[in-house]
Amino acid sequence: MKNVYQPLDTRVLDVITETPTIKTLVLQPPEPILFRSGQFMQLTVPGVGEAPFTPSSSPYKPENMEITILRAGRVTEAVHDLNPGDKVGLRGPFGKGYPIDKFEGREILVVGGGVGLAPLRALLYALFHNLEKFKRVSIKYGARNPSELSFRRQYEEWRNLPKVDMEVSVDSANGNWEGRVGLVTELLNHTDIDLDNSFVVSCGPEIMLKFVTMKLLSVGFKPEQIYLSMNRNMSCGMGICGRCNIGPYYLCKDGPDMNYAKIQKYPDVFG
Amino acid sequence: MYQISRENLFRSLARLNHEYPLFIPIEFENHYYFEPVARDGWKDELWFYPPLRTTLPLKTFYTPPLKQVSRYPGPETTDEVQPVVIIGPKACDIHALKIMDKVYAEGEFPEPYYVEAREKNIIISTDCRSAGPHCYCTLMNYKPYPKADFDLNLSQINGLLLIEICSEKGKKILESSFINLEEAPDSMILERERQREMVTEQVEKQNEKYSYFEDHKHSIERHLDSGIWEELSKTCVECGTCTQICPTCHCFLMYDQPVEDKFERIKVWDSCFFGGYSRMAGGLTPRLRLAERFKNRFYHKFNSFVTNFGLQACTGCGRCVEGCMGNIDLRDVLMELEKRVVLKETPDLI
Repeated sequence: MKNVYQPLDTRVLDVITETPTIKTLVLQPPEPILFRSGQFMQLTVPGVGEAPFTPSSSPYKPENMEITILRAGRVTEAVHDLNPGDKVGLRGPFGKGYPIDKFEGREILVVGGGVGLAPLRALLYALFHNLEKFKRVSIKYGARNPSELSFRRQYEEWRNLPKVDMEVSVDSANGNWEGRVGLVTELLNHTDIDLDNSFVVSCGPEIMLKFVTMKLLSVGFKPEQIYLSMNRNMSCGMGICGRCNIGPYYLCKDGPDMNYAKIQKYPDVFG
Repeated sequence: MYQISRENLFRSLARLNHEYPLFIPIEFENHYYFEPVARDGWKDELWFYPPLRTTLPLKTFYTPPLKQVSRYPGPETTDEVQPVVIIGPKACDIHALKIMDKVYAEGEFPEPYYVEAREKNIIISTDCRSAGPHCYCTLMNYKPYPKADFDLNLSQINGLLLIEICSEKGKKILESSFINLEEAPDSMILERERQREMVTEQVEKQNEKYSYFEDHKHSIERHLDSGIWEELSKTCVECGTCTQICPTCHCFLMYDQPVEDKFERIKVWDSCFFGGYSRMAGGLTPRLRLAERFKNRFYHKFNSFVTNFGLQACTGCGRCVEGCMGNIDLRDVLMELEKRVVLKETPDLI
């Protein structure tokens, strides 16, 4: 019987510095790990511990998985100290992933904040892979300041794809930032998205998710149209250890992306 | 069903003990605990028929408080579980294992250690002979005697023991280790029924004041957003005892540490009552207030577990009531929740 707690030895091929606080690990597992965008992995830093992360790379390139990580705690500190050639461990994938089939024929509004663009990038790659199936992909992304914008080199490429548009905003800026300044929610004020024929997918800090959700509802989206990448402490990733529930849902096995209609009635949705 | 004399039971257990280590109940200051008997360590004076459940739950044999679950890096390994025979568990603990099975064995990712222990360990259960002061299995629609899911069950009747078989494993050890068995007469089986009814009535009687007329799932659902949890958890000191001694609580966390030239992953029981239980990197803690965590435990046991698995995660063993230093009684909590629902929804009835 498979030992569900055993991490798979995996080599770090490369470490990319995205921002002063965010790095991307390029990983080479001994065999390709097949995953759906939105599903997550448990990443082990040997001897330090394990934490859940959603890959930021394309599910269509399972041989080299990328995971983009914000330095925020004990394990992620150790992640930021990793170098090419180091060994890490992987378990997974876990969770359901984004319901991409459901998105077919619709406009998809992708709202990201900070490192929240990482899991969304896996979704974007999946959407771009079959772009003909979707009506439109509209990306709204915000970060604290210009230096904290992840994957900056790719925005132009994404904007040049047919049916794809992207707007970026930062909370505060000084010097030579010519883009927009303001919270990501402000990008949702005048969106020309087709309200009746769209889904929204959002990932970012919990406080952002809260205000994005409120904004989306106020401009006319229905809870059923909104998918949120919910964050909770997870130890096992398999619905056993008990800590990641919102109501009856375990984010590790029923999420981590949850339809807002399912979770809205629980008082602790936004922490 | 078979009957066996005490002397022959002892000889049988000694033979069984030649094959397996045993765990037998012992008494210490009116509490009962499982003690190990190493192979060939059986002595007749060890025999003790516990009147009620042990203080610690049976789950310790299936998901121990602390366990190394992985060594890495390197190929996948799973330590083999060494089977043991556990003598004396009561019905509440056996029902609890059926509840644990839902989480540990029947999901998408069964835990190998748990599943193996379930397959290999042998349970020789016993009927309850009296109701413990905190027992309330009947309130949870269970009985103080096992009807299924044991290997063998013993009932002490007039100095003899009545043996019921419930599994292939049970049948096997009966054939291999038990000697001088006789077919049990109907009178003995009838006497067992009489004793069982007597203990059931005893449990019912001591819980008379608790009459729920609504399912707990509903009453908790109505209190998701209410302030009642502050009141109900007022004397809770967040010690986590209720969750540790609950036979169905299964929360855990894992940590990694160096061992020799490798690393090991340790799985340790956790408690949803602890402040740091759901704290995330970056500092955000959902259910920051104790009252929210208190609510979550009841919500989990009596609402979401029912939604997800079709049964309540409580068998009425009463350990949480017995162990709580804040005198919080689960039965009172459920009662209070229900009362408030009634007051809220049909105030004219009162």
